[in-house]
Amino acid sequence: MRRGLLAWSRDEVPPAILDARVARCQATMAKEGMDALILYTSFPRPAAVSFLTHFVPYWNQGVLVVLRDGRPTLFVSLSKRVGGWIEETAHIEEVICTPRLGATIAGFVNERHETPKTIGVLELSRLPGGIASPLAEGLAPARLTDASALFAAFRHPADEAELALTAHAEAMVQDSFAGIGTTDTSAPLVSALDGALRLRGAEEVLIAVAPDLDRDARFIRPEADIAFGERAAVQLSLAYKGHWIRVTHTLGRDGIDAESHAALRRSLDGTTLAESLKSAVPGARLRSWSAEVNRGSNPLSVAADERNPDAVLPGGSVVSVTASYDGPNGALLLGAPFIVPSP
Amino acid sequence: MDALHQERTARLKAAMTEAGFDGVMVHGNAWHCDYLRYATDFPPIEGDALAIVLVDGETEILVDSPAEADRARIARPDASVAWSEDIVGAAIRRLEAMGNRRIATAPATLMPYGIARSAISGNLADGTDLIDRLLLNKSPLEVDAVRRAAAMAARGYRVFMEAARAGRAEYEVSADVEAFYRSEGCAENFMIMGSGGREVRGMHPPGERRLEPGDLVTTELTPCVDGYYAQICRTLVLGEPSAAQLRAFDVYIEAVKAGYAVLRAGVTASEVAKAENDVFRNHGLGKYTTSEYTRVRGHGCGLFVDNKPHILEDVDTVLGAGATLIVHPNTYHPEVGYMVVGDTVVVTEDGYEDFGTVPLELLSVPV
Repeated sequence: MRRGLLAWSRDEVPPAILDARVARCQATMAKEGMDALILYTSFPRPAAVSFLTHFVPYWNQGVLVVLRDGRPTLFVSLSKRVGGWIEETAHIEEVICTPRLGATIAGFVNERHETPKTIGVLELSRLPGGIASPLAEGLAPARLTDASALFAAFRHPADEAELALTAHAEAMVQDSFAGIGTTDTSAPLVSALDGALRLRGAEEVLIAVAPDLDRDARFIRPEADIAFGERAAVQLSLAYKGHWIRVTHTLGRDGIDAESHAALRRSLDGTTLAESLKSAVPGARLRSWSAEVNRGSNPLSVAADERNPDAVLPGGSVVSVTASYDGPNGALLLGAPFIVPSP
Repeated sequence: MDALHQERTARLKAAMTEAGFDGVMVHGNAWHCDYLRYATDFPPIEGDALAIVLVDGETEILVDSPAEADRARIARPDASVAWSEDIVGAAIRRLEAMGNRRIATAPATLMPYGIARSAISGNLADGTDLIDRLLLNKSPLEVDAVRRAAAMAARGYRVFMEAARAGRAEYEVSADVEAFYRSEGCAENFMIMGSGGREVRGMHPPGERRLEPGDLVTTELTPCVDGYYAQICRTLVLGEPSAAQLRAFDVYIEAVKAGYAVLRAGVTASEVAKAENDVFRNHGLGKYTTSEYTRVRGHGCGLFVDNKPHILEDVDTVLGAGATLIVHPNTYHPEVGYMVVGDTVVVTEDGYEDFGTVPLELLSVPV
C-alpha cells in the first residue's frame, strides 16, 4: 500500500479517450441488453475502473456504475473530505461517498432506471459480500449477472493513450536501470529503483527479486537485505497513470544481461508468441513463460502460458511477457511488454 | 515457521476449538490481509487470496496468479498452494470436498459473494469476531513487532523532514521516504500527506503540488515490519511557525495527551475519543471533531494499517492489555488548516507504553 503520484495528466490521458472507452462499454452493453454495469475497484483491483475513469484508489474500495448513457458515477467508501481529490483525478459524472456501497448503489440504479432487468457485474463472484448482498437485495427482482466476458469484449485493442503510456513506462524502467550501478545485495538495488521510478512519476512500483538463480529461480518480495548470488533477477511491475507493465532482467556481477533482454525484446514482434519465445535467446532453452494482459479488475492476469500456449491474445492489446530459460550460464529470467499485432 | 507465526497458529487453533469450528477460511489481498496473514503468515502482493486452515494445521492457499503461488510456496512450504483465475470456484470445490465440516469465514465484508451464494454456504459461519478478538489484544511477541515498526516509522519521519523542502513536489518527498524504507528492507508503507495553509482540509496521496515557505506539511507514515504496521502522524512548518500555528497545535498536543491519559486495560475506544474531543470542545472547537472534518480519532495498528477499533465516541470496544493503537486527534483548525499528531502505543494493565520517539511538537525545517 504505497501509491506514488496519483494525478491525472489530461495530456497523457485526454478526457476524449476516456469518453471513447465509456462509449465502447455502453455500445457493448446495449448490444447485450444490459441496463447497468457495475465495476469494483480497490487498492489491489483498480484496473477496470481506472481504464474507464482514470480513478485509482489509494485506500479502501469503490464501485463504478455505468448506465446505458452518460458519464459513469463513482461510489466510494472514502471520506467526503477526499471527494475533491477524487474529482480532480477521475473523469466521472459524480462521486458519492458512502459507507453503505451496496444499498446506495441499488437506490441509485433504481432511481435512474424505472425497471432495471439486467445488471451486469464485472467478476460477480469476487465482489465482496459486504457490497454484493445489499446490492442484490436492493435491486431485486432484477438479476445480477456476471459481465466479465462483456468487459473483455470492449477492453481491447489498446488506444493511442494506452500505447503511449506503455512506451513511456518502459522508458522509465530503462532510464532507472541506466542510472544504477551493480550491488551485492537486494536492498540498495530495490531502493534505488523504487526511488528513481517514483521521482519519474510512478504511481506504483512493485519489485520482486530472485536473489540467487543457481539456487531458486522464483521471485520473492525482499523484506530484508538479501545477498545476491553470481546471477540474480529483478522484476519490476510498474504502474503509470493507471497503466501497468512488467519488466524482468537477469543480473550478473557486472550488471544486467542487456544482450539477452534485447534478444527477447526483438523476438516479441512475432505473431506466434510461444514459437518466437523458444528461439528468442540464442543458446538458451525455454523453460516456462507467461503472457499477462489486463482484462478485468486485476491490473495483469495470465492470458497464455506454457500450459496454455495456444490461447488467443486480444489483437492490439498490451501484453507483459515473462520467460524463464536454461541458458549456458544457468537460469535466465527475462520479460518485457509488447503489443499484440492486430488481426 | 517463525515464532510469531507459531504463536498465532496456536492461538487460532485454541480459538477454533473453543468455538467448535473445524477450520477457518480467510480472505486477503494487498490492501487488507490481516485475517489471511494471521492464519497463514502469507501476504499477497497482487490479486486476491483465500486460505483454508483446519484445526489440525492443514493449510491450503489459493491465489489468482502463478507468481503469487510461487511466493506462497516459498512463504509456506508446508502448505498446499494452488493458483486459479477463479479462486472462488476453486475454494467452493475444496469446501464441497470437505463434507460437513464447520468452517468459519472471515472477514465477512470482504468474503467473495460467490462463496455466500454457493450451495456450500450452509456449512459456513461468520468467524469475523473470532479472529477480530485475536487481532485486537496482542501477545508480547506481536507487541514487539509493532514496537519495531514504530521505530521504523520514526526513522522514516526523519527522512521525511529532510526531504520536505520548499520547491519540491509532494510525490518527490514521498519518493525519498519510500526509497529509504526499501533500503531498510521495509517492503510496505502506507503514506498520505497534505501541504499548504488554511485551504487544506485533509491528507491525500502525494500529488504534484510543490511545497512553499510557510506551508503546513502533514503526513502519516505507516511502515510494516514482520507483517505489523505502526503509524506516526506529525505536522511540520516550512520555516518558522507562526504564533497562530503554534497556538493551534497546542490544542492537538493537549488532545493527544488527554487520549493517552485515559489508556489502561479495560478502557473503551469511546472513552479515548471522548478524552481527545473534550479538549477541542473546551477550546470552542467541538465542531471540528465531527465526521465533516475528521474520520477517526485514532485506530488499531497491527496486521492491518487501520485495524479495529476505530477510536470514535460511538465505538464501545474494550481495549485490553496488548492492544496496539495510534491516538491521533487529526482534524481541521479554522485558523491555520489541517493538523495531525500521534504515535503508536500499546495498552498495558495500568496505562500504556508510548512507542513514539519523534518530539511531540509542531516541527519545522529551514526554508
